Amino acid sequence: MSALALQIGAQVVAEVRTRLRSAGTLIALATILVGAFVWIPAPGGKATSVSWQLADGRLQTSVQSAAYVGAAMSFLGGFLAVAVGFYLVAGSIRRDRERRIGAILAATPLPSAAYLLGKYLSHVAYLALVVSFIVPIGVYHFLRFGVGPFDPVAFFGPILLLALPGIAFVAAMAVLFDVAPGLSGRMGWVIWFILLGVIVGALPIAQAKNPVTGINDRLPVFDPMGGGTVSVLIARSLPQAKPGTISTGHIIHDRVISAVAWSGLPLDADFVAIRMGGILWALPPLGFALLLFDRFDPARRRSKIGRKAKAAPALPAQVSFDPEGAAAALSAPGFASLAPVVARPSAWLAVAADAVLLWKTGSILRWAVVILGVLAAVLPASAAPMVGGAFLLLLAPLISEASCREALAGAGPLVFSQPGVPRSGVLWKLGSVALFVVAVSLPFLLRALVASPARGFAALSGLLFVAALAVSFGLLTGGGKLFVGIYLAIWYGALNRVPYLDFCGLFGGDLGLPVRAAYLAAGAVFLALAMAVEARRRVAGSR
Amino acid sequence: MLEIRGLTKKYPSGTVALSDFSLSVGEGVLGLLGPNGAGKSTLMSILATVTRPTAGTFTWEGQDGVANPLAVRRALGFLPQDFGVYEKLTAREFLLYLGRLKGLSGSDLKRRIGEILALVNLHGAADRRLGGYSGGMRQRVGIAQALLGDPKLLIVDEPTVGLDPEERVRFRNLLAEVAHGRVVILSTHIVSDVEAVASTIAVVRAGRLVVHETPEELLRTAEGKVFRAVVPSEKLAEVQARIPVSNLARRADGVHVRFVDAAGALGHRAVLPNSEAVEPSLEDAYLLAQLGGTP
Repeated sequence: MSALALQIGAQVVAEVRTRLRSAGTLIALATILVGAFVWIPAPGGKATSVSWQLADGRLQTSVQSAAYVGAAMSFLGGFLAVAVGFYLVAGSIRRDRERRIGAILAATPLPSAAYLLGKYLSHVAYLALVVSFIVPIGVYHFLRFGVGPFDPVAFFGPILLLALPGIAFVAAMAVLFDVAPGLSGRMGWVIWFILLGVIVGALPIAQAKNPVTGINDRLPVFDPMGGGTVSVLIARSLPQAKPGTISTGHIIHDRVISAVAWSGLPLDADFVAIRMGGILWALPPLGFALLLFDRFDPARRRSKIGRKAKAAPALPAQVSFDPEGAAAALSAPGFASLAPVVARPSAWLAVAADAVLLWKTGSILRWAVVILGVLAAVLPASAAPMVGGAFLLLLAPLISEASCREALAGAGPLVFSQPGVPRSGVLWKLGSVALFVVAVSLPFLLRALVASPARGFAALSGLLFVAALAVSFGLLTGGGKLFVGIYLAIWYGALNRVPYLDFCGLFGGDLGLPVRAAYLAAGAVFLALAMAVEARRRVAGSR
Repeated sequence: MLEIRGLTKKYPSGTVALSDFSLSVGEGVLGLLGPNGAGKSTLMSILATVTRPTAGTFTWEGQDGVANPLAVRRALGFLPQDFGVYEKLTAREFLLYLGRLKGLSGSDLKRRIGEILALVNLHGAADRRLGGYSGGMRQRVGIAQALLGDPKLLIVDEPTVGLDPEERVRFRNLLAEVAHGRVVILSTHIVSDVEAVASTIAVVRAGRLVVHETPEELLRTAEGKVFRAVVPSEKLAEVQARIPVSNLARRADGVHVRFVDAAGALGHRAVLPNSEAVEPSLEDAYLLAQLGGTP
């Protein structure tokens, strides 16, 4: 094995090992197990993974064959790899920069391309591991409810063909975002989510459309998540279905629909070739990343950003000794002569100070959130879900790192030794995040309250749930990405009218007290878990 | 003012960082000396109420610091050994944030921040983002925040790391001034820093207190136990194998070695018959304490 391959291998092992030892991975894997269990519906219920309508208007789904369970796993695998995967792996190079490991790596003979390739391969390995956690749930599902023989190709083939190109592309985009100026932080997370709409939706659908017939019957060449590809393949496998009536994902019907035999996704040569070829879409972002990578040299980074670097002033030819200057440097103004100060530490002041800090470190996103909050309050009710949805989307990155800011910056001992900081850091952060969220949401909240007390309570309880989720996940994982990934999955579900995911009651969900109380209870459970972990860390001396 | 009683800290990994550590600290600067891993930073972290001890306690002006950490925090200024800052904030904004957490507010806080920034020679860079600061400038921001609340108990862990010689001298002078009417605990590896400002010195080894004395007393214990000799180059390896050499320098007449030998226990006369006793330095006294050569 060449020295370069060994270097890259060592990097991948170290990176994956670091990730596997983090609490964030445990939470992500547990969430995936639960999510996969909910996603693949049991037979006889109103939920299905694939359904279609016949010409006479009857709705049908498939019996729980190996092909059906394999297809259901593949939809979730593609979604996880592309929509959530980015948030699981992005930020690795940024972390090397912030923890000053980058400077050490930069001084080694490791070429920049090998460093980036190592990061890329470790992202691929980690995402493959995460997606593979869907499989045990699929196996369990088939063993319990399966119909017909177990066909390994029909069972495993779809998830491999759908998830692998998605993983390859997302891992490359995560590397690109990490080295691109302005995209390596929270702003990048939001931009990626907006880009997803184009990557997952618009582009594949545009490619699938046959310009002659106007029907989506061509396999899209660029389709990282595989949604466009799947819709074409399922349409081919179901000639009896009315065009445009095939639904995939986790669909909840208003009644139990009949199940018939379905052969599953046709794994023909075209499909295999186009998906395997899709892995090559990772090359352009990796190439751009290599062009943009500054090898942890701040001078190169600055000169790349806007070309603002000015020529350094010339050094003087001779430096003469300045006795007055030296004396001034050594003489400090007396500490004893400073006017005394009176400190009145209070938890309220600490909560307010932390909320102000959230605002100050919120970048340009904070203004976008305020404007959207005001717009959600003044625009006609018909526009409220759209504007409110955008408001809720941008809120996530602003608060995602609030509870782990000290850990990320290494400022924990400075902050937690201050007299105003309450004994429970979790409650302190909950107070400051809730204060911040309520303050920027005030117009939006007032509008909901004026519309009806139930709507107002739903909005408030939803925002408090989000604050609790951000605080607890940030503290448990030591970063903001997992919160953003999970929050965006919930947000996406709410936007797509999954009734029990409408956490703010903005998209036609149930405004009833039991549902709202359930959100508050879920938030309380997460907070209790975070407080238990915090207490353990305090005893261990690692807060 | 500060009473430490039987502090013990055992980490979940099984490492015992502090073991039954007791000490009384009065007004002035206590210099804390010890090798890496001796337990100094753990002790500082416990006294700063950041880490909880496994056993034992400490009191600050009669109040139990473990049961009631707030009583200590109200009086505390703490500069940890390894700390980070929020890189997107300016020094002034960062101090404003920490000042509010200390309970300061309004115009008092703003004025105080201006004064403290001048004190640490950062007034010219106060409105620059911390991300662009050099290591020494960050260290001075750390010093500034520790002094912001006019602390009665100042705990500083390796405060002069990264400072240039002028700033180091300036900071040492500042510490000596601050120590009037206050308790200052200074942990460092730089013996000359301790020598310059400490009223008392505590030497720590393997989580235990070895010595707690004034610098003068510590120096006295080293008298007659520090020697100098000139060794031919070819004999150096043999000497180093038998005697702990504290300093060596190659000169034209051979290698000049300086070493400590408590009460002749090492039998250095057999190896270096021409050695002569010299005036001990605080570094020699510290080495002797670490070697177990002081009572």
